[in-house]
Amino acid sequence: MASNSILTLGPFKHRKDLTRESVLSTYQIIGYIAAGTYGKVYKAKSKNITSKDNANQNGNSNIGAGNNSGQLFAIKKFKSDNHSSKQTHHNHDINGNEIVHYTGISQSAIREMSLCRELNNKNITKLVDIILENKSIYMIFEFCEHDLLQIIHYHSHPEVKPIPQSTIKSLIWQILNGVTFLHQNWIFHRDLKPANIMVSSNGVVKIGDLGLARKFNNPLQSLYTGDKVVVTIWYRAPELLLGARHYTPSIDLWAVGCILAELLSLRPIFKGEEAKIDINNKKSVPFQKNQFQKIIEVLGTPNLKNWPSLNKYPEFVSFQQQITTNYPPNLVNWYKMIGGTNKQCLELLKGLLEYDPLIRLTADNALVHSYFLELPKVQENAFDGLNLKYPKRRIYTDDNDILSNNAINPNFKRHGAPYDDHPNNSNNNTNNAPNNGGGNAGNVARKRPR
Amino acid sequence: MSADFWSSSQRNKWQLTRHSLLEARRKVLLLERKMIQNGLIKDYPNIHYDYNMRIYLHNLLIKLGRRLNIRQVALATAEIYLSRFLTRVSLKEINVYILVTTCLYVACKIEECPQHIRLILNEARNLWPEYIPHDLTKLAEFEFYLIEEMDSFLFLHHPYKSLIQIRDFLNENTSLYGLTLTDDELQNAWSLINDSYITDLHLLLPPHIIAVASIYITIVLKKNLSSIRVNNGSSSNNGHNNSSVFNRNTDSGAMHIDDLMILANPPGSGAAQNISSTAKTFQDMKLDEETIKINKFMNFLDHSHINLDEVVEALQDMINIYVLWNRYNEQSVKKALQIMLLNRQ
Repeated sequence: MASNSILTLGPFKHRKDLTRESVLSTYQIIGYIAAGTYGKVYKAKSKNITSKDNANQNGNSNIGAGNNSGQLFAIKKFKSDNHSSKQTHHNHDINGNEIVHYTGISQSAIREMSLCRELNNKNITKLVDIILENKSIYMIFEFCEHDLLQIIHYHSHPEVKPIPQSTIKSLIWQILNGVTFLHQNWIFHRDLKPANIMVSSNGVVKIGDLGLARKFNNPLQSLYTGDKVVVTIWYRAPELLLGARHYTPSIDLWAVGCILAELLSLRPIFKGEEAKIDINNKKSVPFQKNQFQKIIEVLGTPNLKNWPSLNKYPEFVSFQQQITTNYPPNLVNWYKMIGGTNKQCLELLKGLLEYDPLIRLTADNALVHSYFLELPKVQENAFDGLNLKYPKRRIYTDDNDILSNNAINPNFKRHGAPYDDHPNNSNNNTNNAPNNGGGNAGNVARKRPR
Repeated sequence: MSADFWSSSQRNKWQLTRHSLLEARRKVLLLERKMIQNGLIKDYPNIHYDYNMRIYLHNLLIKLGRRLNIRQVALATAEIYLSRFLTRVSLKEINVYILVTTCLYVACKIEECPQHIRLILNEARNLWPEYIPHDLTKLAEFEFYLIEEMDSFLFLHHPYKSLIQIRDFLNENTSLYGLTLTDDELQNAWSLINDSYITDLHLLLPPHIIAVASIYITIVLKKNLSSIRVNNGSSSNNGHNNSSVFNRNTDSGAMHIDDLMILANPPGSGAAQNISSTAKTFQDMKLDEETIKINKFMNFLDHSHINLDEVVEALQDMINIYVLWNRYNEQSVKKALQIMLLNRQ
C-alpha cells in the first residue's frame, strides 16, 4: 500500500510555501468596497518599493505595476470555498473560524484571471497582479474612484439633475471603445451594466468584472451549455430572453443601449421582474415574461418583419402564448418624455436597441456613429467641463482582514450599494458551481437579482 | 491579447529562447541538488526530464484525456502547462500523476469544456490508483500551485488553428498557389502537431511555425513514401508506438519512421539548408505530382514571410521525436517513478 505522503503535493509545496510573499507584504488594506458571495473587493495601497521588488523575485510578476508607493488598488478576493456550507461537515478551528478547503477554482474566477491577464486596453480595468495565497485568489486591479451606478445615483438623488450631454457622449463612446476591443479579441463580456462600468477620477471609462466574459470563437460546446443564463435581467438582450443557444457579441451592444438609456433618463429603461428558476427543476430556465413585457412597451411587439428569425428561437412558443398584446414602437415617445432632443443620440439608441441581432449596431460601427461625429466632441476625460464633483467611493473599514477566510454570509447584502432596487448581482455566482469548474448541473441561473 | 498571438502572454511572457530554457533547466537542477543536500528530497538518479520521461508524461495525459473524451485543444493546452511547469519545478519534488491530472483539469476550464473535479479525479484514480488520492482537495490545491507557477498566464494559441487557417488560405487562393491540402494530409499534419507537444517547440516558437513544419513533413513524406514504395516494396513497421501519426500504420497513407529518418538526415547537407536542398533534390527528379506539390508549397512559403529558419528548427525537433520514440522504454520510466514515489515519506 502506498504511504499517504505520495498523495500530497510533496516537497514542492513545502518549498513554495516557505518562499511565498504574502499579499499583505506588498499591499496595505485601507478598507473594503463591496462584498458578495464571490468574496470581497478591497481598496489598498502599495507599500514601499523594496517589498515589491521582493515580490518580483519570488515570481509574482507585476505586469505594468507602477512602483510608486501609495498607489491605489482594488483587490478582488475570491473565496475558494463557496460550497462549504452545503457540505455535511463543518470544520472550525480552535477560534471558531471556519477552516477552508481547496475545492477547485470556479469557472468564473478562472475566466476572469485568464482573460484579464491577456487584455490591455485603456477602457478595460487593468489587472496589475494575481496572487494565490492561503487558498484564496487575489486579483489586484487599478483602483477606480467611480462607477456608472454611483454616478447615475448622484444625478438622481435627492433631486434629478440630468447628466450633461457631453459627459454621456464621452462615457458611451469610451464604453463602446472598450467593447470593440473585447469583441476584436473574440471575447464577449456578458454582464455589462452600470455597476460594472468603472470610471477613473480623470473621467476614463474602465469596463470591469469579466467574471462572465468568455471567448466566443470556436466554442467546443454551445454557449448555452456553458452558462444557461447570462447578463443581469434588465440588460439582457431579447434573443437571450428567447433562449438563444448560439448568440453573438451583439448581446453586449443591447446592454450598452440599455446603459445609454439609463444615463439619459437616470432610470433603468427595462426594469422587469425576474421569473425565478424552479429550485426543483434547475435545468429548465423560465421564460422571462415580465422583462419581455417591459421591452415591448417601449420598443413595440417584435414580429417576423422586423425580426425574421424570431420564430426560430427555442422560447418562441412561450413568447407567442404569453405576449399577446400588440404594442406599437414607442421609443421616439419615450425619448421625448425623458426630455431627449438630440436626433443622432436617438438614432444611436435605436441602433443599439434593435431587436434583430443581425441588424443591431456592432461595436465598431457604433463607434463611428454620426452622434459621435457632431459637436460636442468626444472627450478623453468624460468629466471635462463638468462643474460638479462626484463623491468618492465609500470604503468600509469594519473588516480589513483580507487574509481571513471567515465565511461571508451568502445572504450578505452588498455594502456600498445604497441603491437597493438595483440588481446588484455583479458577482452573484452563488449557483455558478463555484467549486467544480462549472460541471453540468450547477451552472444555472448565474444572473439573478435578489 | 487573446485574438492575437503577437500581443499574447504566450509570446510576451512565456516564449523562451533555447538559451533561457537551458538556463531555467539548469536552475531546476541546481535547486534539486540543493534540496537533496538539505535533506528535503532524496536523490533518484534514474529520474530525468529526458525524452523518455516526456513521452511517458505525454502518454499519461493522452490516456487520461481519452478516458474523459477530452477535445484535442484542451489536451494540447494541458501539455503546454505541463512543460511550462517543469521548466521551474523538479520532477523529484512532485508526483507527476497528480501534476498531469491537474494540468488537464485546468486546461478543460480554460478551453471552456470543464470537467467536474470529481470525475477527473475518479478517472485518474482508475488509471493510477496507487498515485492519485481520493481526496479532491489535493487536486484543487495543486491547481493553485500550478497556476502560480505559470504566473497565472493561462491562455494559449495552438498550431491547429494555424493549420486550418493555412488550409483555408490555400483553398481560397488556388489561382495563386495552385495548392490545396487533402483531408488525409490535413489529418497527418494534425497528428504531427499532436506529437510535437513532446518537444520544447511550444515554449520556443510561434504556433504557425509548427503548423507549417507539420505540413512540410506531411507533403515531403508522402513523396518519399511513394518513391520508397516504388523502389523497395513495403518497408517494415516499427513495433508498439503510441504516436498518433503511427497509429494509422495499417492504412496505406500512413507514415513510417524510416521515411522520417531520411528526412532528418538528408544526404550531404547541413541542417540549415534542409529545406532548400530537399527542394532542390526534388527539382532534379522526375516532376511527378508530389514533387510539384512540394515545389508549390515552397513557393507559398517563399511568399509568406514565414521565418524559414524557425521552420527548419521545428522540423528537426518534430522528426527527432520519432527517432527517440523508437528507443522509448516505458517500463524504465514507470519503474523509476514508482520507486521514487512509493519511497517518499
